[in-house]
Amino acid sequence: MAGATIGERPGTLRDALRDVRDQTAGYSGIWSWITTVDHKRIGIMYGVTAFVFFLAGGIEALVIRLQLATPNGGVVNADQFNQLFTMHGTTMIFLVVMPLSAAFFNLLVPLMIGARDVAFPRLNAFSYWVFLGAGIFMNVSFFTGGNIFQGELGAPGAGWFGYAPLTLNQFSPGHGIDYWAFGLLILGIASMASGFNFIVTIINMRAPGMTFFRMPLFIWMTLVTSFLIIFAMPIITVALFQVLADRLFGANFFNAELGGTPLLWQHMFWLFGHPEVYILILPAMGIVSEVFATFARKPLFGYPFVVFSGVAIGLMSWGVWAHHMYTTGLGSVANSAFGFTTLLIAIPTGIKIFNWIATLWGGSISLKTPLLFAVGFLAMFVIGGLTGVMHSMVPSDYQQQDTYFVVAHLHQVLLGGALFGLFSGVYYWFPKFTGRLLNEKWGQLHFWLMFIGFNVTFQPMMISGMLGMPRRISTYSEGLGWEFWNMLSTVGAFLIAVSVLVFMYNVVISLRSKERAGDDPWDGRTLEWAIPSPPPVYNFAEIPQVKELDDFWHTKYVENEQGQLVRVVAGAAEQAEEAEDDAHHDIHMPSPSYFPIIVASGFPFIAFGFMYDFALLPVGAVVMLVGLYGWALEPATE
Amino acid sequence: MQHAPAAELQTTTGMDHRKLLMWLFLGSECLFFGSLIATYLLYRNKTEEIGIGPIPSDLYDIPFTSVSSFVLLMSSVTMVLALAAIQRGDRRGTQAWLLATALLGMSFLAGQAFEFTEFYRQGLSLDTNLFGTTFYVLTGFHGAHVSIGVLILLSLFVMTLRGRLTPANSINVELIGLYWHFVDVVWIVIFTLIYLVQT
Amino acid sequence: MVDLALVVLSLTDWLENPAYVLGVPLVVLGVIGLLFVLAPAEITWSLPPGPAADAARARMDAAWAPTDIAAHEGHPSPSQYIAIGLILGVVTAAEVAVYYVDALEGALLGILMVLSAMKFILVAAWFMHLRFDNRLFSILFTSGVVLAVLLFIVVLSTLGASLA
Repeated sequence: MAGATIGERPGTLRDALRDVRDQTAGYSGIWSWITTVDHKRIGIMYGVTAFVFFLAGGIEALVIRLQLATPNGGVVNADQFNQLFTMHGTTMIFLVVMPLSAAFFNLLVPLMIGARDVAFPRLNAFSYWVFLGAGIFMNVSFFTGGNIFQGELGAPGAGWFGYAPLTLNQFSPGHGIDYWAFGLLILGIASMASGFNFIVTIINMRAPGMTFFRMPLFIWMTLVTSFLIIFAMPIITVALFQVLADRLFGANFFNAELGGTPLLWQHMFWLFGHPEVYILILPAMGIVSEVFATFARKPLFGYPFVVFSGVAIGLMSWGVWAHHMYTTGLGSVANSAFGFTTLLIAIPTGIKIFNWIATLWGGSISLKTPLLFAVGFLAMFVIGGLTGVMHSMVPSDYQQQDTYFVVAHLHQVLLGGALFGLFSGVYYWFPKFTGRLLNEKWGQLHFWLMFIGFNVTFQPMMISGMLGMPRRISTYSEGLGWEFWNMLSTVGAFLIAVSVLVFMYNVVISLRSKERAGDDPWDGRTLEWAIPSPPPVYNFAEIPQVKELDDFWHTKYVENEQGQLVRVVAGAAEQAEEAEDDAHHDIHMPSPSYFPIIVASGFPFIAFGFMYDFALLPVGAVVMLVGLYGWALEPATE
Repeated sequence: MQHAPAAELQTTTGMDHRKLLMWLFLGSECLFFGSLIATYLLYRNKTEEIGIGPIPSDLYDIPFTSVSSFVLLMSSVTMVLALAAIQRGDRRGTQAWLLATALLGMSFLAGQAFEFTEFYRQGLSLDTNLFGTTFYVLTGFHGAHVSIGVLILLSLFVMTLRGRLTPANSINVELIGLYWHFVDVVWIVIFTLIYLVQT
Repeated sequence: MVDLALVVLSLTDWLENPAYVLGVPLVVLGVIGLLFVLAPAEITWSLPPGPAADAARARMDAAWAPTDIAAHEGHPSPSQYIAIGLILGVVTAAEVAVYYVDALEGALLGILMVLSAMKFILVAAWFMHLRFDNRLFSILFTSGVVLAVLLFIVVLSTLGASLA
């Protein structure tokens, strides 16, 4: 065993740290990224990959908006339009917002709870590679799902929730839906693996003294999200297997001729789909909770209420799925019951919103870009939430079902909500992982362009929805009163695109700037700000002892007799560290491993095997078996 | 590998990481099998109403399935006995019970293969009707779980020969045991709800 | 000769179901393996005799020194496990018996549900050690079971299915 070897010499802290540095000094180049099990590197890979998919999904959105800018648009044909909105929705939900959240989980969970890595570092790498493979697999369908040589695009075209029987062979010939279903199945494996990993990490790897109610709010939201993932994903997994069995093997799950009930798909999809909505939004809620507290320089107002309302949202998300299905004829009893539970879920959400506002109230606010995005989140999410409450009313929903009003609502919560929250997190934690602040001037420009662009895009959609414009139509005639609002939405979409370019420019110039951010540029509250930027491989030289909520803040400030905050004299903390240096130290960092990527690479073989040629199945199986045995038999720490 | 499972000692709660992972996985598997069983139950009476292809009471051979259910149930007993053996440092016992569990699992799988073949000969395939679809997919996924369990049991058996599996890492036997018992309780539910409750 | 032909014929008859082709060799293989393991001879991965083999043997013996992890973990004893196994067998027999008694047809569903729930709980509590382990494990597993049951009761009832 490298690292400080037991029994050979009394490892002082300095020895142990030097050993880890020696051991990891050679980790560079592409191979080191392929074999990495370091949660920070995996987090960065998640973030960058998700951003690339974000650009892909964004370009799809722009083409959709160009097509709809004017009546009788001729940019794409109806079939291509179907593929575009299907891939746009699927990409943005499964390949952008979920992995961006996963990027934050990876980067922050070990740092915030005072751990050296996650509980299962190799499983973590495995999650990433599976996600990457599935993302590429799905997007390849544009070229391989149809006959590309005749100019046919082959991506799935049945909408992101792929209602049966539209997804069956009869209505969706070609391989598009197979790509979609297998892609989601494989992505489900990645999400579940990371869900398990973060639950175990949070429950089992908290630093001494960090009780559940001393955990940062982001950690709480990660925990709730991970539980939603592990309980919701199996349901969609079964539903996808059923669709695939119908498509590939002639099974009858959704075959009405033999008594099958296509409505079963809707139930299973939304049983998964509604928790999924909270899987998308809860991480963003966790991020803004941290940002509000830091930039108001106040503890989060009503911390336990915010925690409990987050848990309550998680629990209640299981009882509202049928509000997506009011118009399918569930009957008035079911509709009323689900309308009622949907109204109830607004209560914990409202509690959170009031607590965030109260956190800002009376704080010494510094209105930097992270806070701007967090406030943008708050404003947009309130509108999104309230339009959601409108949908919970059954008669009102009958009017809005399948119109652009719903499109406006869901973008209000997912873009105005989740994505604004995630951008807030990017600006907030960028200095921690790169050592450089994002440029403030360009950041402000990014925010305002995005905020204005967002509102110009989606508020008009509410109106076009109210005017009766159905979603998923590839074009519309003149004279319906939709022209102006659609043109406005298109202009707004391009404003958002410009804001994303501004963000990319900002990242480039900030990374090239020579100015260093320092360890704690925002005067942060949580443990990640206690260590250098970027953090060393082992994160914490010494595992911190936690005494209260926002522990790091309290090592920096104490209250004087008048109840005012006073900075603690610098240097006191380091002395304590010196004193403990005699103790035995032994740091084991997980070794790099190439087995996760080997196992992950087996999945596309299996999927292609079912779709094209069964001969590929044994290939995939052998690859996975080799990877799994290697994984099981290699020591985790060498 | 001399020192006891280090991970166990270092966790906040004292629970082993891997055991917690396994229980989370099993909790999530409940939803997986729940979905499959619910689908079967939803479509249970549809096939008879439509009147195409065989229905459960035409095909089920209850004495046969009872025996194979019993075999799987007893494999749970041998599984815990393997755990008890490794936990008291009894190598011979560990090997014997691990192998016996794998063997019983394989007998169950052979029984399932027999049953599938018989049903297929009598005119039930995946695409015949809803009974075929839901029956084969549900029991097929269960069988896949059993197969994976058998594979792991055999691997563990080989590991005892190589000296890679010793009482110091008996947690491995405990983990596969949890998985194996879970697969068994799922079959307890399937046997009752799918085979015995027919009308 | 005729006898032999008959035996071969009956064999092919017997082999009609491919399950036998898979199952019989597996069972035979397993029995042979079991006999090997239970045989008095020591079976290890053989090394050529010499100091290396002796060291390997010593390591193996040290690793397999008698311990008492089971008691340390608070797990039941083998005889308790076997007793539970017997109960499980009896309950299964009762289930099958109930299935064949016409008089009980009305109550079949209820009785079977109770009996299988009993088996489920026995396995989970004793074999999976939920009785003895950290309560969090029970909570996790129970939430999975309860969530699945509740969600699908609602789904099945809105879709108009019923058990009876």
